[in-house]
Amino acid sequence: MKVVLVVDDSATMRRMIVTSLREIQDIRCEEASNGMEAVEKLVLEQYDLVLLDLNMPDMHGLDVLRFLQAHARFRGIPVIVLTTRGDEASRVEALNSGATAYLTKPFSPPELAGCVVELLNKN
Amino acid sequence: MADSEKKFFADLMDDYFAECDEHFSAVRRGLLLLETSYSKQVAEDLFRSFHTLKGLSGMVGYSEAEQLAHGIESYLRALTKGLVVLSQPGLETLMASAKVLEQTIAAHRVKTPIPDRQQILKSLDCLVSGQIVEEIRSQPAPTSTGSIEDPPPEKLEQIIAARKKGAEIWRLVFKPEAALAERGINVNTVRERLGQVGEIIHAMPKVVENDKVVFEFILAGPKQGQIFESWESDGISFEPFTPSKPMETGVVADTLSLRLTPSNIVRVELSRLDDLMQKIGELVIGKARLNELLNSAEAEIPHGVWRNLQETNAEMEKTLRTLREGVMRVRMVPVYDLFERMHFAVRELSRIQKKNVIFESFGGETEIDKYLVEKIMDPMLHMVRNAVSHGIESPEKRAGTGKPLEGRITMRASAVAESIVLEISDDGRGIDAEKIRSRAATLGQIKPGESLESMDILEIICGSGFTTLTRADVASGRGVGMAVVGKAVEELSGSLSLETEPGRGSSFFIKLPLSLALERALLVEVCGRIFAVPASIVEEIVEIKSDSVTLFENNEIVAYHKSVLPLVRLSELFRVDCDRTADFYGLVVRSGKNRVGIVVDRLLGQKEIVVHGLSDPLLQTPGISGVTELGDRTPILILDLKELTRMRKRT
Repeated sequence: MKVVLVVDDSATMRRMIVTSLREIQDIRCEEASNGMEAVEKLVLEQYDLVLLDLNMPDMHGLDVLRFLQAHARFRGIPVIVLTTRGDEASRVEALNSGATAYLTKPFSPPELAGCVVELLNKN
Repeated sequence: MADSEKKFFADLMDDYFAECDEHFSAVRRGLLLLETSYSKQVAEDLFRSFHTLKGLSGMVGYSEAEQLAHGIESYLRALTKGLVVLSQPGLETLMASAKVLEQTIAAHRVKTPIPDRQQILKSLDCLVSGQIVEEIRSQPAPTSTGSIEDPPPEKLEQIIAARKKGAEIWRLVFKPEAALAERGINVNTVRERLGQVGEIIHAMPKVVENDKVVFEFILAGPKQGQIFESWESDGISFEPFTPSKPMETGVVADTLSLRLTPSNIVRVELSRLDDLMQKIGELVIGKARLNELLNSAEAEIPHGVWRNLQETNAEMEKTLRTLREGVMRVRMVPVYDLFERMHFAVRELSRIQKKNVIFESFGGETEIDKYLVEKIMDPMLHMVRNAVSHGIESPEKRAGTGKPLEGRITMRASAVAESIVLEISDDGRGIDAEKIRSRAATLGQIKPGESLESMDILEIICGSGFTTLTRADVASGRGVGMAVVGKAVEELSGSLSLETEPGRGSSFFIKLPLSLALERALLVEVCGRIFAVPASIVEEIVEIKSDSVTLFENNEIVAYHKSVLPLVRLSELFRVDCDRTADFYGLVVRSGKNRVGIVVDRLLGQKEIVVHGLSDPLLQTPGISGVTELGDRTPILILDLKELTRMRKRT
């Protein structure tokens, strides 16, 4: 069973993402609505993949990403960042900060599922 | 689409619309703040709100909304980067485009045509000229705090500002653990707790020795630290804050933020609460049945046993009442959000009409059922627009009559017994009774020469088809008139009243019942049939002897309190034949300015009933507002007395 952490401050987005991944075999999703909660969950449990929204209040997704990359404990977990169309700068910055892949909103459920499966299988 | 997919989609769209609503609330607040003075923090929060709206709309396929949100977001981004300065036209365009975006999303929701966006997109484009857009593209990555060791400069300013206000700055460290999480102590709840004792200036994760992760908070809080001492066992340590770099004094930044729901709040669908209320209603009915059974069983069981049963029954009655009140409380929200919407509308309108209008409100913390808020929102917006458009005079006119240049619109909310009263007042020109009177006479609604009082004015302007506007006035909704308001208030079993003084201003009062699902009702018998009548609209019950009834112009009347009371026989209205009893009762009900007595044969008592609306359109009968049932499961029709008295007037 692989565990995925979905980090997005929008409840609507989280619902969309979790439902999109429902069809994938042997996968379980957990949710966090802000960066600090995401870090806490990563501390207390094991995760195989993180889906990270960038545009969050209080703690921006890039800060979460940098925090994860700065510490050996979390460095190995693959992270897919969710960006919006027209936000190329963030995308580049995210990849430079250690994101494994990015997905641009709006993305379709199959796109998301495909990306997740690919990354989970790689590891 | 499979059923489960359909459900998923429906749930998703519910989430989407609900989340958009929250964002628009935050946007309204932010725009109002921006109007008072520009603040980068507020502009950034607004940017984030529109950015989210853009992303969400894109995800659900609403590309028009996505496009519009993108335009707004671009302007806000330029603002936050200092590439443009917020101008008056810029602010107006922002407000207008936020409104169009809201309308676009709403149009999707109710499946009406989507408003045209070209104009507003052009305006937004003008604000952010092509050259500036190029500069944005070449800028390095957007908002992130960079170093996460020391707080960034703006935070230091916040600290200075907080110290000036007399707060003490603390550094708290929370160490998350599985055991704590099981007890419900996690970074979200800790943050919540801190937010309650002070203001969180900065929060960040940190890795300390042994690769352990902790969360550090900088809090502007109480002067003494005793409150934190008991938190040690919850994994929270504290100490006074000392920055590692010396702080420089600088300009104080606004710390107002537009946060969305904190995480210990649950969003509940109103329909679930309706279901709960219905179940409670069924409990009330079941309880009533139990009461009756117990009463009739008194003779048949040993008295001691019966006493115990009665006591338990009484206990349950109390608990049921508490439960019912509890569920009602869950549905209650403060009217503050309603007031903010009005505030926003007033600001917008007064700018368009070049009038100076101050908006003030009192009693925003008064709570009202969420369902009522939804229903009363549009009527109130209508009245507020009327107040600005027709009530408040232009600054020149006001100066001419010695009034202060700024017009004033005041809203008040207060809870009175089982009702809530909402007041909208303006200090404008008042309602010209003469104008109303002559217009009504022209429309043939009253006889020429007839004089009017306040209550009459209200009834006339709320009557359908009445308007003093001879050409369409866009700002006030094209003269749809107060009819919409009157109808909405009536549908909620409320009442509308008016006080006005020419030259001084007008005040409208909307009174709404607090309880919707459960009502106190009088049970009456008419021609052998039992009906229920809402107790709240019956002013008095009088006993009438048939020989005190006289006939006057084909109407039956009786003497009543130094005046007369016309009688209305339900048997006639319902065309039911039955013998008239010698003595009967009259339920005194208001009909406009006058009172009317509804004739019933017998009074059977008072009961608390659960109201079920008659929702099948084929079953709509004028004069019947719903159905309920008593303990014996017989359906009882609930009479709509106001409607009935109107029916009588027509016959």
